[in-house]
Parts: sequence; C-alpha cells; structure tokens
Amino acid sequence: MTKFDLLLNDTIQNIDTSKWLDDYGDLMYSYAYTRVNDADLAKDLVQETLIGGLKGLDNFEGKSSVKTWLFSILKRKIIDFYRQKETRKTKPLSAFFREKGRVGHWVPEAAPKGKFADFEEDIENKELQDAINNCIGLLPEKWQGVVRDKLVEESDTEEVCKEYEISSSNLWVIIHRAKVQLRDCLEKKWFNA
Amino acid sequence: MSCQKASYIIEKRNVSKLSLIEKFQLKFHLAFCKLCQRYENDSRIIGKILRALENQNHKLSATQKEEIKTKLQSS
Repeated sequence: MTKFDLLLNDTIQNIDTSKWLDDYGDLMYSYAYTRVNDADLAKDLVQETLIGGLKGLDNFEGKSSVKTWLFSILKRKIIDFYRQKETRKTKPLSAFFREKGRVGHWVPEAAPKGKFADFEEDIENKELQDAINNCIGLLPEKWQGVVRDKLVEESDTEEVCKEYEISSSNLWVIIHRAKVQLRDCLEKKWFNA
Repeated sequence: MSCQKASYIIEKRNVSKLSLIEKFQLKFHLAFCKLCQRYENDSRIIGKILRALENQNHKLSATQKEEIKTKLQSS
C-alpha cells in the first residue's frame, strides 16, 4: 500500500455514510424529481443511489466530494431510466405539411396562435408548471430526458450528447421537435381546456 | 426557407452560433411570416417556463425517508 492508498483509506473510513440521507437526500430528491416528475420514482432513484453508493464505496477515489460522487451515480441512474424506456416508439404528429407545394408550412391545427404573451408575467405559476410537466410527459421518453437535461437544467451540450449517445445535430433536431410539440400541447391544454 | 426550417434555426440559435447565411435567411423569413414570428416568441417564453422548473424545490417526506432508511439497513 502506498502512502496515497493509506491516505485514501483513511478518507473513506472517515466518511459517515449514516448521514448521507439527511445531508443529501432532499437535494438528490429535488434533482431527480425535476427530471422524472414522479414522486415515487424520484424516491426510488435516491434510494438506489444511496445503496449503490454504499456498495461502491471502495470505488470512491476521493477525487471529488462525496456529494459530487453521489450525484454522478444519481445522474447515471436517471439516464439509464430514460434509455430503458426508449424502446417505446412514439411517432408524434407532424406540425408541418409534407404534401408537395406546401412542404414545411405549419399545419393549421399546430400553427402558433399567438397567445403566449400572458405567460411571461407568470412563469412560476404552479398550474402552468403542472401543465408543462404534463406536456413533457407526453413526449417520447428519450426526448423527455433531453428536454429536462438541456432545457430545464441547461446542461452542457457536449455532455448531453455523450449521455444520450447522439450527435449535436441530432440534439437540435430533437429539441426542435420537442419544443414544437410542447408549444402545441401547452397552447391546447391552456386555452382550449 | 420553410417554416419548419425557420423554427429549427430559431431553436438552434439558442444553443449554437448560426452561419451568416442562416442568420440572413431567418431574418428574411421572419420579416414576412407571422406564424414564425409567433413561434419565435412562444419558444422564448417556453424556454423561460422550462428553466423555472429547475427552481422548484422538492423534499422527501418523513415516510419516504423512513422507507429509504429501512431499505438501506436491509441491503
């Protein structure tokens, strides 16, 4: 054992795992909740992360803080969750014409009606946030993960591409389609309800 | 440029640099297309709503914490 290993051993032994839940539980839960929008699932993810952390404590190299390390486990679990769900193929309706002569024009049902201006004063409105969370839930699962990572959390583009194994142009395509769907969904939910 | 392309470029602009041609084409399209002008505005507002979701604070309930504690002890 080198001096460094000894030092590391010492560090690991000094980690008080019994405090993890109290120290990081709520933070991890809030992080998970905003990404999966489901209380039970968010709780399970926190639980699995803590179990994973306890089991993998030997792999903790002490290069980062315990908090950062636990969050890296949690992030991985969230991504795995969205990857697993990817199998379901959802084909959203196109918001644009495909017919010759009108290719790429807005179809009337999905065309922006120009009603969103009022939202701007009130973006923290709980009902509005519930509505958009609902709309996100209707997107194909992989898009949901991308939207929550890139548009909610504003993660680094390169990081998001790596995590979901997509190219950056693929990312723009997903974001564009997701945003068009979200806009349409929110407009319909909010104004025609 | 079609509306599909224009709205795509609007989204791309939020996260990456546009080429001169893209900038010009978008400007030209937006000058004439009411629907895409609306889309541009809606998209910006949706971006704000989405970013505001990040500020929501959620806490584990006492019951959830107990459940986790039990699970941790038995694993």
